[in-house]
Amino acid sequence: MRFFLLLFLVFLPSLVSARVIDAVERWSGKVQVDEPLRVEKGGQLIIAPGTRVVLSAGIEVVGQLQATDAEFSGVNWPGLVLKGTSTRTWLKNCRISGAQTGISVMGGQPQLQGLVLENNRIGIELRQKSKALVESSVFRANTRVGLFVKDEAEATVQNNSFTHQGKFGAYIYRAQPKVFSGNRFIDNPVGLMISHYGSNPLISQNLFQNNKIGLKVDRTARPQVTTNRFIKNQVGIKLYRRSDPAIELNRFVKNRQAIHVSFSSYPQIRHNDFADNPQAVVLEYQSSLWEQQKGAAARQAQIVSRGAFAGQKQNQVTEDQRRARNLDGTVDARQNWWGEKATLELKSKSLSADANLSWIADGLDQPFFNEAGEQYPLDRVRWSPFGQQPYTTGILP
Amino acid sequence: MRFLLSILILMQLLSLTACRQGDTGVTGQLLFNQQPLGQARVEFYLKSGNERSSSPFSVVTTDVGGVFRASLPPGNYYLIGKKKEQGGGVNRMLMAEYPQNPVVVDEGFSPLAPLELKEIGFEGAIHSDGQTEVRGQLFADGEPLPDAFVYVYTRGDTLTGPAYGLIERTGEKGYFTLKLSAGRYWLAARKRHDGSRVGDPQAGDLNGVYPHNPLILEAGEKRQLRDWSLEPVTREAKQRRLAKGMFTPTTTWLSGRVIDEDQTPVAGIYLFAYRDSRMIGKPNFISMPTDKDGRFKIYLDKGGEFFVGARSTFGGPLEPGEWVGTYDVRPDHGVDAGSDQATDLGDILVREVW
Repeated sequence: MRFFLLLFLVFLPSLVSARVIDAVERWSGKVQVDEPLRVEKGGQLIIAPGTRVVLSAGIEVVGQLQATDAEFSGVNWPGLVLKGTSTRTWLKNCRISGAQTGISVMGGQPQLQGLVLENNRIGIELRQKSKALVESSVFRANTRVGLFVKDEAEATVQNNSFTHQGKFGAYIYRAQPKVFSGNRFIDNPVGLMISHYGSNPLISQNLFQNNKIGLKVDRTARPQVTTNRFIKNQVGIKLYRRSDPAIELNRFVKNRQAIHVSFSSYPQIRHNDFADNPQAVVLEYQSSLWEQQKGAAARQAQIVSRGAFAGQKQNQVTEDQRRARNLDGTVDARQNWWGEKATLELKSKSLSADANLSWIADGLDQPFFNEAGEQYPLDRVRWSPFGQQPYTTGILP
Repeated sequence: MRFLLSILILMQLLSLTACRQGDTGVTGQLLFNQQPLGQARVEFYLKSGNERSSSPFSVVTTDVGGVFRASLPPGNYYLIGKKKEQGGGVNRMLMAEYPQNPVVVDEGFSPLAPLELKEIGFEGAIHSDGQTEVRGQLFADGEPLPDAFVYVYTRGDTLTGPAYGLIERTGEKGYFTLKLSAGRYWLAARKRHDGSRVGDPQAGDLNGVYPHNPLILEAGEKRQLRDWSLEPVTREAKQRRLAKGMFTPTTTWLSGRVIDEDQTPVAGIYLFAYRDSRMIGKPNFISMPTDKDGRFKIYLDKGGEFFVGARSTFGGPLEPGEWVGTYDVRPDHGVDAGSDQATDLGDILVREVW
């Protein structure tokens, strides 16, 4: 009897009604899913290569899902939800499109490899300390975000490609992926966003190219950004609202602005190579005096106004955790290589440490900015001593 | 014409200044648990709901008998009573809006009906005095239980939902430490299969209330709890709970549709109905997620005034990408629902937060 049921499921284009899978079930051919489906703990759904699953409802997996070379498509369907699944749940070389969230991963360690996530609202969302593997996948034209890493997820994210997303290639929010490396962000409004206190991942060996903003760091996030390449972006790295990343051993080539620093952000910019960027470091609305006088109050006002329904306080991060430590009116960008032409100029003119360099826009170019009728001095960039030769040669391709 | 208007405005101003502020106002009394509430704030605003400015027009404090007397110039005022109480390591906020707002001040001092304040959830986390702590270990099926969550409540009536004052995750071998201060606490613990901190436990998740609740701690005490085992939630128990829960159809409900800025229905949105106008803490009623047409129903136990919000998740701060919105026909997001009636809220607009 069970055999006949299996045959029915395998060989007929089937309408899968609302039901639970609590044993082994195999799909192949064309499968239509119009009612929610749940793979229970102990249940196993195995999808054969070449299977085309057309969905208007979602699939929730608590047990196991194994799919290779399959296609999941639909129009605004909810997506796959993997809840606490083990490494025995995997999707390999599958295409997922048209979903609200292609794959939502709630905890667990599913293996997601070689996928194409296309035209979803969100490609993949990782939550709840998930240790998922997201590898060698293509995120293309998802209308909001290619990959969301949230909620303390500890995923491994490597060798993926993010192109033409609606808002963000990838977004790390209050999370610390274990590995975030070897990814390519090309032609996105923002390649990678890292936001909020507690987001301190190591971002290494990635390529950011032709994005409006390659990497944006916001709201007290403190990633370590090292050995990445930023090429032909409008802005290579944008630091916003108290973001203090360590930026080290990266290469910046032909970006309109290589690093843009604003609103009380105090990064450590060391041992990077800058070449052919019209502006290498730009400061805007960046003042130690403003931070001392108004920073804490401005942040508090923002917290109070951001309740879910505009009434709820969210004091999850203390002001002590947010505040800037060293407010001496400078942004530290010592020991960087500013390119051949610039280095030649620095050497030949023996410029002093307070010289106004053409590739740096700071308080030497615009001494003050206005806010609410008050003038605040714009910080300056400490660029001396400078690197005499490139730092990334031999490290980056 | 313009001249006449100026004269009229001038006369109005003169009449206002002629009326001395000390001659008119209101008197009243604040209560909590039907007892007089001293040292509470009574705030008077010129506008209601969202139109309200951040600062009240006038503030007075109640005396030991909970009585207040506020001198106010003639006009309409929106009265709110508040008191923040600290003690036992817990901050609690008492609050209520005067049900007959706006209060009309006309001639002399008008007596108002007593106003009973309500506790509206916990204001911030439980305070640690740095000395008092509780240690314990969670087990399931005889084995130490890592990555479970221990919830500390300051009231014992409902040990579910986001009204907890402190949450702590167990370590590798199920150990946990709670940093508290002197006070009375109730503990519950859960481990959800999907690893989440909040949400309705599903069949198979582990759940348990500390069997020796309440925990009464003295300042500086270091308490070692007895071993505490969690039990799996059975499908039958889950069904029983759902049958009694807030999704059970009743004869009183709010219904409507959730749409985005393009007027497109949004599926998967939860609707929350609060009795408290501040819309904080645990909502009194929650809908099932909206269907593919954006439709929802919030079943209520009886009619009354409710304040309605919509989110794509529940619990915790707003996250980027989340949908959020409120019922906006009234600026305070409130609606009056009749008992044994269906009240149609129409369309509720949600927007994405980034």
